[in-house]
Amino acid sequence: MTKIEVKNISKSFGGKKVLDDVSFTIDSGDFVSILGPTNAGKSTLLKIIAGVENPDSGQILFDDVDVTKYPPQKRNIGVIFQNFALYPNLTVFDNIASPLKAKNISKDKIEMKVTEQARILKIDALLKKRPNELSGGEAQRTALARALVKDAAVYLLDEPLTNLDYKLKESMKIELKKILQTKRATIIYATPSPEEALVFANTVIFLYNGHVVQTGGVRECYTSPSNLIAAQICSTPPMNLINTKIVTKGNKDFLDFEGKLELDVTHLNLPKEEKEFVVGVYPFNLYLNPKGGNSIAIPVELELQEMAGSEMTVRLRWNSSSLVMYVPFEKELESSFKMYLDPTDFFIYSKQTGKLITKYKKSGA
Amino acid sequence: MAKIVLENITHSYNKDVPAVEDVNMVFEDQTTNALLGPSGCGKTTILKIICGLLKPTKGKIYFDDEDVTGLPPEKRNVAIVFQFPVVYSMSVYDNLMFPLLNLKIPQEEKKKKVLEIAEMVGLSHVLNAHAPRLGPAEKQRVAIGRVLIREPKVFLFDEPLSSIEPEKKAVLKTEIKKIQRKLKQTTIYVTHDQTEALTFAEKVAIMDKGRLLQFDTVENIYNKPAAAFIGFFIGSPGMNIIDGKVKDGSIDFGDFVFKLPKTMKLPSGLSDVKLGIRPEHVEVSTVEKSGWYKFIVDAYEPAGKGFGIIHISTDHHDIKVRSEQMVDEYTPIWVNFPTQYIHIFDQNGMRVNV
Repeated sequence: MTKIEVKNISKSFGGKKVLDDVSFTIDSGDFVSILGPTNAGKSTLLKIIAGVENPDSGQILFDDVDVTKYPPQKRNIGVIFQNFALYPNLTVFDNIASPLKAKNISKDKIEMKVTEQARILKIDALLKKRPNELSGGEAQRTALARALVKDAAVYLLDEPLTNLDYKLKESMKIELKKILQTKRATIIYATPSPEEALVFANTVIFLYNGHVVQTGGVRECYTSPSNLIAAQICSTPPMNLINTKIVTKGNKDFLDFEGKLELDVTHLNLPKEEKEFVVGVYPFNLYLNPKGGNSIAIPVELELQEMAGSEMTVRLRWNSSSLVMYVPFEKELESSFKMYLDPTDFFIYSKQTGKLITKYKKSGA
Repeated sequence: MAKIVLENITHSYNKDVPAVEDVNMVFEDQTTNALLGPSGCGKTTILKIICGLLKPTKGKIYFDDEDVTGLPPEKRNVAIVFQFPVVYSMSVYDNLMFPLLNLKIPQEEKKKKVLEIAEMVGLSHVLNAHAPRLGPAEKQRVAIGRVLIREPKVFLFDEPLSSIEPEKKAVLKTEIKKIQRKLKQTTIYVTHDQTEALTFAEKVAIMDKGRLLQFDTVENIYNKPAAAFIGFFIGSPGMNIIDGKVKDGSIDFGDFVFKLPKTMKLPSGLSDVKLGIRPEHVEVSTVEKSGWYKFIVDAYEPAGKGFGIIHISTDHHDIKVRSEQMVDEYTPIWVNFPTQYIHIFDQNGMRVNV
C-alpha cells in the first residue's frame, strides 16, 4: 500500500491543456475513483501516475518520495486499461504469466500464481485457449488476471468495464470490487460512470476539463455536489438544473420559476447581492405520484419516454426547462401529465459562481 | 407503406448451423417494430433478408401480398439507415436532393421537399455545410433525411445510434420518435440495446441463437416474458432465475420452499422448473418476518438513483434485490416473492404459467 500525492500536475498536448494544476492526496490503501466525462483528463492523469507519461510540471509522490522521474517498472504498479491488448500468439496462461516472467520467479511459483488468479476470475478452464477463442468477457477477465497476478502496491484501472456489454457489466461490477478488496493496495479507478464510482470507491475525485472540481467521500459528494459541474458529473442522467430569479413581495423573498411556481426562501438568507439562482434536482427525485407531505404537482409536457427495462427515463418539458425523471417501468404516458416534486430535494446554486449555497429547507425546519 | 410477412424463414451461411431457423413474423402496415437480441442472435440476417441483400435458404417473404423473396434490393423500395452514417461528399442540401435528381417532378417541388425534410430532421441551419465535415450525430441526420425523402415502403434502422456521441443521443432519439409518429411508415429497428428497442417500437421481436423467442408489445415483453432469457435480458439487473423442483403444489429450492398459489395452473408432470422474479419486485425486510425467506447480504451496490441493488444468497442460490435502504454485508435479510410477480419456466427456460 502506498500513499499517493499528486502535486500541481499540468500537462498539455499540442498546445491544449489536458490537466491544469491538479492536486490531491490519496491515503494509503484507499479506494479512489476519478470520475469525469470523456476528455476530462482521466487517462492522462493515470498515465502520469503510472509513469508512462511525463507531466509538464508538478510532482508525483509515493509515500513522500518524489517518483516523478521514475520509470514505470520502478513504481510497483498494476495497470488495467480500457483497451486491453492480449498477446494473440500466447495462451491465456502465458498471457496471465507474462508480467511474472520478467522477474526471477520459479516456474512452480508462476504456475501456482497464475492458476490461483485464474480461479478467482473464473477462467481456470480456459488457460490453454488463445485470445481469438475467447468471448469479450473472457478476454477482459484474462486482462484483469494479468494485471492482478503480480502483487502491486498500487492498482490503476482506467474504465475497465466500459467496453463490456451491459449484462456482463452487471455481473462484473461487484465481482471486481470483491477481488480488489482482497488486494492490500491503493486503488485508483477512473470512470465516466457515477454508478461505478459509487460502487468501487470510498473517495471520489471529480475531474472536468483538466480541473479537480470536488473531492471527498463518495456519499458526501453525491448527497451534496458542491458546484454545478460536480452536480452534472455525479448522476446519469445528469441532475436537472432550473433557472430561477428572486422576487421580493413585501418582506418576503421568493424563488420564481417562470411564474409557474413560487418558493418562499426568506428563511434561507440567500446572498442579497445575487438575484439569479440555479435550482438542481436529481432525476430520481421527480415522481409520477405524490410522495410525502411536501409534494407539489407540476403540469409538464412529455418529450420522450425511454424504456430502460426496469425503469423509464422520461424527458419532459416544464416551461423553458428540459427535465429528466427516472421512474419505475409503466405503460405509455400521456402527452401532458402531472409530475410531483418535493422542494426539500432542491439544491440551490449561485448562477454567478456555480457554487452550492444551500439545500432547500422548509421554514422552521 | 407495406405489411411485411416472414414465412418459415431459415438461413444457413454454412451447412451445419442455421443463422436463423424457422422464423415467422408479421410486421403490420404503419407500425414501428424492433428486432432485439445479443450479437449472433440472427437479427442482422433477418434485416438482410427483408431488404433483399440475402435470399433465405428456406421460406418466403411478402410485402403486402406480393412475394418478394426473389426480388433484388433496388426493386423492394426499402430504405436503410446504417450504424455508421453514410454521406456524400457534397453539401447537406445536395445530399438531401440526391435521391430526387432523376425524378420527373418540377424543380420547385423538389426544393420544397428538401427544405421540408431538412426541417424535420433538424438540418435547416446547416444546409450549406459540407456534409463530411459534420459530426456523427449530424451526419446521421443527413442519412435519415436522405432516406425519408425517397418515401420508401419500408424503413429499416440498423443500430443507428451506436456510433453517435453520447451527449447527442437523447435529442436524436426524441426526434426519430417524433418523425416516426408523424410519418407512420412501416419501420423495423435493429439493435442490441434494450432501451432503444423498447423506446422506439410498439412491438419488439426478441431473438436468441437464430430463433424468434417472442414478438410482442413492450408491456408484455416486460410483464410476461416468453422465456427466462428474455426476463434476464430485459431489465437491469435482469430477472432472477432460480432453479427448483415442483412438489405437491410447491416449488422446493433446497433452502426454501415457495407455495404455488391455487390460481396458478401449471402443466401436469412438470418437475424441474425455473422461477423468475425481477429484483424490483422482491419484497425485502431487514427484520425477520414469518414465512419470508432468509438470505445473507453479499454486497450492497449503490445505484445513485435513489435505490441500491443488494446481492444476497443462501447456500444454493444467489439473487439480486432492490432496496432504498442501505444494508451491511454479511447481515441476514428476509425476502418475499409476491405471487403476482412470479414467472415459471420449464427446464428449457420456456414460460409455462399464464
